[in-house]
Amino acid sequence: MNQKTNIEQLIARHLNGESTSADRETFKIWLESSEENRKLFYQIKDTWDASKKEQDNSKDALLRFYKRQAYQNNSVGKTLSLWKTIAGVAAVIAVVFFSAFLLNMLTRGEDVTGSKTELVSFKVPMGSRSQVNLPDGTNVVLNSGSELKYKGVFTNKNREVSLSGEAFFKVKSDKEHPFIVRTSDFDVEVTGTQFNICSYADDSFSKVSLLEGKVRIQLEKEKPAVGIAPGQQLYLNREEQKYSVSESDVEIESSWKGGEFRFKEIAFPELIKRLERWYDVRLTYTAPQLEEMLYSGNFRNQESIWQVLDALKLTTPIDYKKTGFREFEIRYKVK
Amino acid sequence: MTDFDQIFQSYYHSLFLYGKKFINNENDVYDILQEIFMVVWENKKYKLEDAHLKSYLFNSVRNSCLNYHRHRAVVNKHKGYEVFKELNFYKSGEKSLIEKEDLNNIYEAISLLKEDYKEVIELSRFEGLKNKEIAEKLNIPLRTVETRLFRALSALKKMLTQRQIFILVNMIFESD
Repeated sequence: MNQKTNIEQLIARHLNGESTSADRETFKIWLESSEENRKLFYQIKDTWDASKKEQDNSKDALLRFYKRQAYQNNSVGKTLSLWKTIAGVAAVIAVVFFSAFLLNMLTRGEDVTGSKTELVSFKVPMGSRSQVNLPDGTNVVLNSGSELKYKGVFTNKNREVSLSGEAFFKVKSDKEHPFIVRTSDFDVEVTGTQFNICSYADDSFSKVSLLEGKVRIQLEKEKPAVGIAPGQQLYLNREEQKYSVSESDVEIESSWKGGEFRFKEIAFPELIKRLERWYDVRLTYTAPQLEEMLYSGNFRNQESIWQVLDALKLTTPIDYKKTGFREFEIRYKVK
Repeated sequence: MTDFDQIFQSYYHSLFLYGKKFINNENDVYDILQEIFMVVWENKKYKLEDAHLKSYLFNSVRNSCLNYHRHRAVVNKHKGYEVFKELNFYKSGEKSLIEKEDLNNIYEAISLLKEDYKEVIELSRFEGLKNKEIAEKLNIPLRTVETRLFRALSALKKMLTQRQIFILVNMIFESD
């Protein structure tokens, strides 16, 4: 083996964090021996670093930024005693301004509230999940490819959001002010509870599963709302526009929020869609035999799509082939 | 959305990836970015012109990483030393691909690689498999995986410096 491939392999192992101590010694000598080598290494490492596809979570980061900033501002105010007098004066001025503002607001009433209808939206890309804490203390976990929106007027009194995709809600209890989730199929109204909504635009169904508390689901205007109890699920068939309420394992339904991929007797087409969202891949199949299969399984998110497909291959007569960039084709294998 | 929010969202991810080049601990990178954006917020740096703001932000991350390692250099002398050299490499005018925002180009360049190379790059970078796992998966020797990975990286490097190839690639991608 020549010198060049040796160094190539050394660098590859180094970047992969798999070098042995002997490797490290050789690599170090090579690196130190010339500026050229060093430059070459940095350039390769740069491509390596840049090609890591990490999740973009800048929206969460922005919220975190505001939170931490508010906290730090508070603690600074307490320690700087020198600024206290100045702060006092500023406070008086602030009070004057604030009352002027208040007066202004009272006289203009609706105008002020009406102008602040900026749309706030949280979007989670395929292949990842995210959490949002709403101003009222409600916690929402969003699954892959979901979007949660609310008008800029979300307050403790006006709790209304809209959802496309799947989310688990832990709603802060407030009997006076109901929390409303709007989806393309129905509105869900609650006062304080934990539940899972799955309503993706590209699914043929939409469902609500209740873990705790009480929810009311408004399917059509003017019609009475449907209530479900903990441990129950409302399943809406979109094509037939028919719904049914049945017992369901809500633990399994909402297991995704803990990074687990669990499913019980779901049809193959649904499994495919869930895998596509979960792993951000494209899966295609043509065999009609596949449509009729039911699947149950349990994966933790550490498994790669390859491992999941391998597992399916072991238990069912399928085979798969990689057909492109994050694309797989699944075929039915005749026994 | 305010100016600040917009700037935060358009730069945060790249800055994070850039910081991750030099600092292994994600939480420490988050802390550094928090401080940098705090300064941006307080000094209204977001009013700066785009090109200035961008170099200001990336320089800030680089300097913060330098400081970070200076603090830790006492604890971990040798590791720190290596990172200083790498940081100085970028200080000397070299631009990182992240800084040049060529990330998307990278993904596209990958799709142009020879099938053998593309396969190992995808398994390694996107599926997060170790070299050994790739070797088992593809049923090829570990050495071959390593060589293919290296050659794939070198090929990428060549494509990424030739901007024209990218303009061409982008045009093809857009038109279909």
